[in-house]
Amino acid sequence: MVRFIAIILTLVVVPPLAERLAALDPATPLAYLEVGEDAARDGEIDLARQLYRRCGALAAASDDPGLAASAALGMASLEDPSRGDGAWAAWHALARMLAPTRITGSTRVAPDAERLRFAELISHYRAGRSLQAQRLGRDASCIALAREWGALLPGGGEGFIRACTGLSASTPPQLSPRQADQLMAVEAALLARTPRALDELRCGLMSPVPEVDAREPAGAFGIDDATWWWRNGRWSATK
Amino acid sequence: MIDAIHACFGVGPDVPPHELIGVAADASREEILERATQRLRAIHARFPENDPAFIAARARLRAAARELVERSTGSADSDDLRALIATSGGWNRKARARALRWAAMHGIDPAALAELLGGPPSDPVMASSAGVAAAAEAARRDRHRSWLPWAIGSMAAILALAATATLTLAVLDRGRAAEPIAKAPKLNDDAPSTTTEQSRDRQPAPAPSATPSVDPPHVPNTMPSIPEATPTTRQRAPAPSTDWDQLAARLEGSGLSAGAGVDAELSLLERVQALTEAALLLESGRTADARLILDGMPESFRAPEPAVQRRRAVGDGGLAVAIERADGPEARVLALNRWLGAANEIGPSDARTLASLACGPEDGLSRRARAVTQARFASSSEMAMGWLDVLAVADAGAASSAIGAWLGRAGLDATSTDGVIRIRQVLVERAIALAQGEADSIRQRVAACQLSWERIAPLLGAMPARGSDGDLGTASIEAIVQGSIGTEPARAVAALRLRAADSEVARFIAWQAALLDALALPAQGASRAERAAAERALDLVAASRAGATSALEQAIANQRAITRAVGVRAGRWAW
Repeated sequence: MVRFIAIILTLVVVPPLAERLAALDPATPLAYLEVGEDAARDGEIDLARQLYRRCGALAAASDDPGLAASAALGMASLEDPSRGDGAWAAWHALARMLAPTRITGSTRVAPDAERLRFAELISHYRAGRSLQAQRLGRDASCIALAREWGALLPGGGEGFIRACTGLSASTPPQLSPRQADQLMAVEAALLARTPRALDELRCGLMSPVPEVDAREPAGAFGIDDATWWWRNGRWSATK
Repeated sequence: MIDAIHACFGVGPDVPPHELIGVAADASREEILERATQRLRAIHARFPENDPAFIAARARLRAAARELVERSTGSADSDDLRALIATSGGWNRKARARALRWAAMHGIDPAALAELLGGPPSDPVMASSAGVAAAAEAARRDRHRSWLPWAIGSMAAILALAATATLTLAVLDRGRAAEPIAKAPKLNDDAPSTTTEQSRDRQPAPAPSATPSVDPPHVPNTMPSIPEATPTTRQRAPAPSTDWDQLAARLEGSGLSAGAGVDAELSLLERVQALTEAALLLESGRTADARLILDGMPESFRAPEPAVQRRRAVGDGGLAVAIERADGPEARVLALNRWLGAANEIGPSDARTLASLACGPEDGLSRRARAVTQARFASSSEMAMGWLDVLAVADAGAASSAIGAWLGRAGLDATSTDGVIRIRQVLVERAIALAQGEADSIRQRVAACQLSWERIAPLLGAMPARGSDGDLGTASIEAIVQGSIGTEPARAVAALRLRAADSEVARFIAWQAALLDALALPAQGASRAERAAAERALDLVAASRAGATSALEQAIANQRAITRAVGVRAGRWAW
């Protein structure tokens, strides 16, 4: 019932997408971002990209780096991080570059106790202690860290958690020397709190650093004409 | 990284040069060089040539020998000087050119050279000469005649000693010194010119971008303010272009196929950093130092062998069964002893059992287990992992003391979260180091890259900054860029690059790119055409970074461009 009322209200209060597109004005770049989010939610991915790009270009031109960074994050949300083309990482790098210093900060690091718990889970798994591995394998912080470090765990993040929760006392895991070394590398990086270059290299975190032109970061949005207005189903340079 | 000098001779890292070489403080030049060569050979017998420990030890020995030789050269015997006058061909244009070249090679500016030739300014003879010079032209001619023989003698002796020292140090770099030392007096006469000519002959053709070797010394017309070299460095004569050709050949021969592995990529990065160092040395006129790097480096790059994989113990798990079967405390100790008599290696399961026994209640079995882990398995990576695995389930107090004894550290506290993290960290590091042993070349190569930046920093006019363990040299690059950055836009771009970097390796690459910008686009002095060429080159580097398949490949691309930027700055290469 509540959901039904919400839908009705949305239909009544929020104008349709076409109407909102027609109302876009370069003086209010935030509207491009909001419409882009709605377009993305409706599965209009190409349209969402066009809107985010325009939002980013307008925000950068009007000296609003925070909004430009949001547009870059919007673009990243449309990319698949697991794809090897680096687009997701590049948009994230652009967002970090554009965002005001006060909101970037350092990468979030899990608290000590959570990292220790995950390190202990690795130990229990290695030693074949099924009860302890099953208990910690269901811990929310361990699951989150397993996902974060998934690329380096045997079977990936989800696979490693499944292996821990399904561990049987009678069949301890058979790890190859390479897998054992990799687990050690993960543990070292995990315990070091902020991984050093050596940890990154050992863990194999060697994907290329996204290349963003620092001299003109906003150029990455790729809007070099003035087609800000949505007229008759296409972008127009005239109001 | 292992300190090879300490490992071979027990000499600490901070000893003075004569102690490093193992000679008395006032030892003769021959003695210094012979002893340094002996030490280098001894190290070479234990460490392979491409081992970073050997490379670092060679660099230290080389620097110490050079320092001591220069000291002894300063106190040259005047009889030797006169004895070499005849072989120098007298005080002529060639001798002057050689003197200037020698001064450039040894970092002596022209003013200091003149002082060296004519004696110190406080010298009464010189003082009186200066007075006469101010009086009249005829008197100046007389004075010129009066110190000319002495100058000729000094010149010849300096040339002889310089040639001897340079040749011997070059040979020392390769670990073969005996023969050149014996022949040195004969080679003294025309060593600098023949060496240069021979190397010219060996070069089939200069690299496309290099200045031809017959060109006169070229004073760079681009004088970037970032980073600024010392004034004396700027006054030195440029090195012969053959060295730049040699450098170019090595830079061209520094390729690597994609996906060659971290070890190979780090090794290549280290090599290109060494080339940057050589370029900076050539730029500042320290040709002999640059040659020591270039001569000791093969023209083409060979990737190192991959690290060996760890072996696994066979017959693992016997200890737990033996202990379980034993009835009573004494029988368990006997079972442990019997198992020890049969086992040569320890597997992961036995290591856990042993660690578990060592962390048990204070009795004969736990004492014996602690003693065994220290005596028999202290250098076993499996034992380190065994401690790690037991730490999660053992009594905190017992684990603290047992692991503390194994690590040789008192005061470990496994009762707090912070304490356990520290213990785990030490154990993990120990396990990784022991598992990979001497073959832990990633660690060694990272350390070598860091050391290389520490050597490069002073050449770029900055104080080297020591980074944390496992740093690729970020701290030193940061010191260079922050210490010498010129324009506000360059600073802003560097800050933006750094803000985008979300890992240590990314930060390293961001600093490299900032340094490259600073070298390629100086704040002032560059013409519009030069600036445009530099910008095109920077675009190409950016494209190569964008197309790279790994972060280290990007770092190598940056480093190659940095080396080229130094050559362009010196007026030797073009973009």
